[in-house]
Amino acid sequence: MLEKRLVVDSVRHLNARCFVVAFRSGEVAAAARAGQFLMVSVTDAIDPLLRRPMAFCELLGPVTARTGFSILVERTGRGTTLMSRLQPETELEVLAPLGTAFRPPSDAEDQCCLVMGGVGSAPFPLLAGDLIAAGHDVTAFIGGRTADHLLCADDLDRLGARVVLATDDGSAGHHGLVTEPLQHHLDEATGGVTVYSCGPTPMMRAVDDIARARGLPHQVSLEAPMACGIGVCLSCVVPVQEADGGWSYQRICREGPVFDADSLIWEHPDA
Amino acid sequence: MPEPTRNPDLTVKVGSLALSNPVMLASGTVGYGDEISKFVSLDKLGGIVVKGLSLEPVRGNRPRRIAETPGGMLNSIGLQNIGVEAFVEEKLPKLRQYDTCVVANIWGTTVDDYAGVAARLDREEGVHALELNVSCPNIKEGGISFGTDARQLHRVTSAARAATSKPLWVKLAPGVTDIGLLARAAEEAGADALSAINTIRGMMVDVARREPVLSTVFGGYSGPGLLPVALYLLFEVKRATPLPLIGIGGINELDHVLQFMTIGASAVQVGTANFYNPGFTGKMVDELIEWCAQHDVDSIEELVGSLQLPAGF
Repeated sequence: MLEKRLVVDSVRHLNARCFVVAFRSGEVAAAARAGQFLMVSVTDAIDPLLRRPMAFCELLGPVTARTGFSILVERTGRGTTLMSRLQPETELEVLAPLGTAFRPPSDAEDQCCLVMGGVGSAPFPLLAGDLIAAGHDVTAFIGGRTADHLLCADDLDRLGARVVLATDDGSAGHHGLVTEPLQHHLDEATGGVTVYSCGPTPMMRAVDDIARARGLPHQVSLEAPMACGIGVCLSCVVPVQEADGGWSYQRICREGPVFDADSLIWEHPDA
Repeated sequence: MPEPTRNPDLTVKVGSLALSNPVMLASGTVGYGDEISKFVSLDKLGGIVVKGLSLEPVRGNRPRRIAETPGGMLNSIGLQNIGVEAFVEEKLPKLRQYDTCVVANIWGTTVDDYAGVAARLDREEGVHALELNVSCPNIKEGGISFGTDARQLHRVTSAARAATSKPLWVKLAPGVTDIGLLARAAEEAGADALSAINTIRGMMVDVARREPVLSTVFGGYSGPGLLPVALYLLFEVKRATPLPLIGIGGINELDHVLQFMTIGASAVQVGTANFYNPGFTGKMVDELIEWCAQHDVDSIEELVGSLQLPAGF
């Protein structure tokens, strides 16, 4: 784990809400794995106070000599609004890499389905690149409210993934939920499939229902508000199934953010 | 000619307990030291106050447990902890290896709970002091917080006092009309030192959902915004009792450490800053050494309680 003051290389705005921030740091990029995240400060002042958790989106530069990495950010509040105004050469405090990484499929022959919604696309360019480099066939299912909410489609296409789009309003791709083309794809698929998902909880839960029904391994990447990112504040907990039939809280920042979907309890036990 | 390098004496005493320096890690912000020790060597600090321990493990509150506020944050963790037994078995052996004071923060929902945890830790080497978290509801007394009622506070402190011969600190809760009254109750019940303050209650609203942000509606406010409140309450505690004091609340730079000490804190605890700057306390110790050298302070204890008040105050 590295604690560094890093320089913003560029800020690229994708639409009115979303943007990609690239940082220069070969050292952090060399240590980062798909699915892991970083905590990044928004300001050197005390307001907003807390660092923000952000997934590694892409590593920059050649594989053997990384020069930096990027994060995908959606403007949702004060912190991310300030980040959207970042200028190149700005320095920010970064703690990285944090948390668990996506694991490759247990079967080297598996094809991979990456299912994402909205800013949940963030960790998938890096994962898709790794999976494709390892010889897996990769299909990316990208969902969003409108065409404007579909993120990373060009990046995933460039990396060699098959890209399937779905929008609630039909403005791009399939008119409906992203899980519908996923179902269709799985109906047609031959051989083993490993599923990865990240996005709104109802989407991940629906993907989990589909994967469970078909007995497919499924890894999800979760997010939650967190203060520290290193496991001490205990803010970012999720209920997880225990082997003895009980359940416990695990920390998204330490035991996650990548979990086996099998272990998650989508309906909170006390509910 | 440059000044010769000085080696200021940073040791402070909290009653009978000597700390290598006044900078401590506050309970609930560093777990049991495992993670934070990657960012600051615990050997470098005056002490660590571990996450509040109860007789049995506690799962804590359902999410959402945190909300950012201007200048701070709210938390509603719900005292999640592994329980005193698991602490002794799994965490204490590692903590014993550090050259630092280990303070066990303890809590319960009955007087007997507090006494039970205190008794369990009393026989453990490597626990240098106990700190009572009294910001908990007494379920046998209609849920009134131990820390807001002088009679309850006296009772729970007395019970813990009877259960341990280790130094006993009481961490005072801020949401009271007269904190001096509570400070005296703890003193009369046998506390060796007082730490002040715990978080102050607050809430935030998600207007789009018309809901409180936290699952428990309200939570504990901490962070830089708390500083002047904490300094003032420590000042009131100082006026009420001769007990040694530990200042807590909103520390975000060395000047804040020094302010607490000037008022009368022998030591300080850093809490929320560990979240947004996990190496912060190590930096405070470095800066304290430098500050002493620059200000011709041979021993940091000279600063404790040196506050000059205006005439007639």
